[in-house]
Amino acid sequence: MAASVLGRRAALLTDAISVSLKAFSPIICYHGVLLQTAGYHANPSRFNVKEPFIPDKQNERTPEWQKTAKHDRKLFGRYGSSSGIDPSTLWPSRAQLEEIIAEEKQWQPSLEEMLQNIAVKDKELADKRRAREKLIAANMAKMPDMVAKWRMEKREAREKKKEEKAKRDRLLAEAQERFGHTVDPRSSKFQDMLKDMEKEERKKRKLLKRKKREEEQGMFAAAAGDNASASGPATS
Amino acid sequence: MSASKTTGRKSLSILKDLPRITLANLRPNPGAKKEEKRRGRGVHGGGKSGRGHKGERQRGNRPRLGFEGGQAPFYLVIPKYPYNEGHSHRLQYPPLTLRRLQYLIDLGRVDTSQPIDLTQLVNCRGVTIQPLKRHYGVNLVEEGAEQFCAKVNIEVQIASESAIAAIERNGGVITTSYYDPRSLSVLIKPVPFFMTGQPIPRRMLPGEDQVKYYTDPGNRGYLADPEKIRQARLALAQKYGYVLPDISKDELCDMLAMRKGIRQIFYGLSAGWIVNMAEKKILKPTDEKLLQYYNAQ
Amino acid sequence: MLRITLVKCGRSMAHRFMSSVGGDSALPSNLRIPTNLIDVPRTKRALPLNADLPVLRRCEEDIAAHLTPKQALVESLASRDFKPVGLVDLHPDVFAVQARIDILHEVETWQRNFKRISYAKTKVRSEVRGGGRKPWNQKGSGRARHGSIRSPIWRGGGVVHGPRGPTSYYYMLPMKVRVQGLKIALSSKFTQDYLRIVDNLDIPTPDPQYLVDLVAHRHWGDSVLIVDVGEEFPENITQATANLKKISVIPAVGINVHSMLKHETLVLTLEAVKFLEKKLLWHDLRYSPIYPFKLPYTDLP
Repeated sequence: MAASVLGRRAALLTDAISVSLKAFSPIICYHGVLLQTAGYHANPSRFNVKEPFIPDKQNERTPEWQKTAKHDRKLFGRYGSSSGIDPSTLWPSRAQLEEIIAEEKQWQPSLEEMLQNIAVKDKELADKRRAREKLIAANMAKMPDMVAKWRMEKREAREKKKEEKAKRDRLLAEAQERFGHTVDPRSSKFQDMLKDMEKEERKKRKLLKRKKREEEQGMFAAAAGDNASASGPATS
Repeated sequence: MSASKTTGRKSLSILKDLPRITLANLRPNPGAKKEEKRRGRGVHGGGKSGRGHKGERQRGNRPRLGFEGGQAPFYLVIPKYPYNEGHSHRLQYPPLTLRRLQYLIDLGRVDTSQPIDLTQLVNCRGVTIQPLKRHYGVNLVEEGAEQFCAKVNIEVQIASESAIAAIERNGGVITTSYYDPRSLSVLIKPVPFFMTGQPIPRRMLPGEDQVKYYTDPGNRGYLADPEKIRQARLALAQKYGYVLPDISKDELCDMLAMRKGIRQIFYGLSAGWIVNMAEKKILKPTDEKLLQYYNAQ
Repeated sequence: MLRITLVKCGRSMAHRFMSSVGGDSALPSNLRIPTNLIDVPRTKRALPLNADLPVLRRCEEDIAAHLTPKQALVESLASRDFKPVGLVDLHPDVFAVQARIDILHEVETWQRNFKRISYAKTKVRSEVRGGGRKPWNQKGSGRARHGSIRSPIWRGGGVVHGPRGPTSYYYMLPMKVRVQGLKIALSSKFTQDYLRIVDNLDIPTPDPQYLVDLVAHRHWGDSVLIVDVGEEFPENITQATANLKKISVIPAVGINVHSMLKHETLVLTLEAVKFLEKKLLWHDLRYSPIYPFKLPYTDLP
């Protein structure tokens, strides 16, 4: 049954025949059972068709997408020259080619341009790095001096602190001597004591100064007396 | 699946004595078809139909996924960090190990007497490239370099230094070249492209970030100076400690020296040609503007 | 048509296939033979050992080392009586593969369902004509509260979870599963002795009765599926089978599991055997497709 369908497929394809139902075919006796068969012919299959389907461009019923250049190229690719398409339409036309070239020029720089851009960028980066390294080197050169200075400052501060501590200890020892027991440096007694000590020192200094002045005066007077005695007899 | 070789044939000897296999005898393997639970029917699917008792669960008013009853949800507690930022702009190069390459050559799936291209690798189903997943080509990786012993003229997109050394140590030639996405999809599936009837496009140059890679002779880039590449080959041989074989004395010297032009996608075919598979013909343009465009460098 | 001569043997062999259905009977219901069956005793025909019959065809494809080709007799449709014309080698990887009934079931279900589009569609309450207005006030009328006369609880209202629009049951089994289904069907026909090989489809008359007599005489069974290669068939056989329901002729590209299982006997011509072997064995060695197989490949076998 299917074989007869195949045999007539070419004819069926050209005319679009729908399902044809044969009315009652001859009754067959088989094993004594009465059989009635109806002949059935399936619709022509649309798969595995060998003839190419080239759409009619002039007909307004063909869908728009079958009239595009893209579809033409596809038909040519699938069927070759039997699709009836002029191969020169497969390449871009003059206008399209110019568009393509302009687009490429805008968006795709040439190798030389790109190498130049890369060189410029690299140079910038290298310059920045170099400047930074120079700065670092300069600062590093200053470092020994700064380190020494800092060390010295630290040392001086340490010594000053030591001196102050020593002074405080001395005062405390004096105070203890005077009063006979440990005195809190913050107490009033200590302050009084300090004042007394300062007064004594000032007195001592004054005494020393007076002594010095007296000595100097004495020396001066003695020197002046000598000069006067020396020059006196000369004048008389 | 059965373990022994004869189990399949045993089933046939059993089948000989059984009734005819007809449409009424077919059934799936026991346990293959699990009956679906039809809701609202019977003891197991009926009653509350698996929805629970009252509340949002039964009434279908549960809050959105991720909601934790008002507690700060996990997906908001964890701070954002741009791990995957720009992931779809990153270039991906699926790896090809030297081990896999040797395997393909040993099985005869890839022919070493012709230059090995991405087309050849895809044809022998050695790699799978999906241009839509931002694949820009293949990355030759040095795993299996100790077992690699084939002399090939291979063209990949990225290659590690050890892989280059392994190829050159065996007397082969390796080049790295760039294919823009359109050229790549043409390269990996040439036949569907030819069926579309379009002229073969020009291969575009790499972008500025990639130009540096492909002009570097150490990477055997296709834009690099051939003289510098020669020096780089010697330097690499010294670095890895092998004697660089002389290719010019080889009998396959011509094949090993074959390289594609900067704008060429296929060996033997140039840009602007149309290949017609139906009639096995190649059509070339004759217009001088077209020729100028397609043959420009 | 079942072989009564081997029923007892079958019953004992089929012991392990006992299902849980029916505690007293050993076989499941679809394998049990009814006691009132009127059947023609079928005898298994052994290959004549004194065969000076020529081997008309050897397998073209390579056979694995541990397998041997199966042999079958080649008959002729030219006369009503059975007369072997020769022998033919059948490839074991097509005609003697493991009998996987579950794969046959899968392929048969797929064949039935993948073409199915069910056009059933019922109207939902929004699609039923009317029912936009509240039929009566919410309160005060004494009747139950309703929002629309087409709600599903109303007579004439919409259907809740009914079939919605044309539904397609399309799915594709992997190509290799479908190919394996064909191989298993051919193997089961061959092992159960329902496969006949014929040299060509030339019959002397276009009379359908000739074919019916031939089938009855040779005890081919109730229904016969004849397969040949090519688009055109000899006129006699097309005419003869045109109105016959139980004897069908199909081209080799149309061979499918459903038809093979529906018809009792499968008759292949020599070209059909060659074609089927070539096409079915190709799938064992091919690469996976990177583009559809319809497009040209240079290196795929």
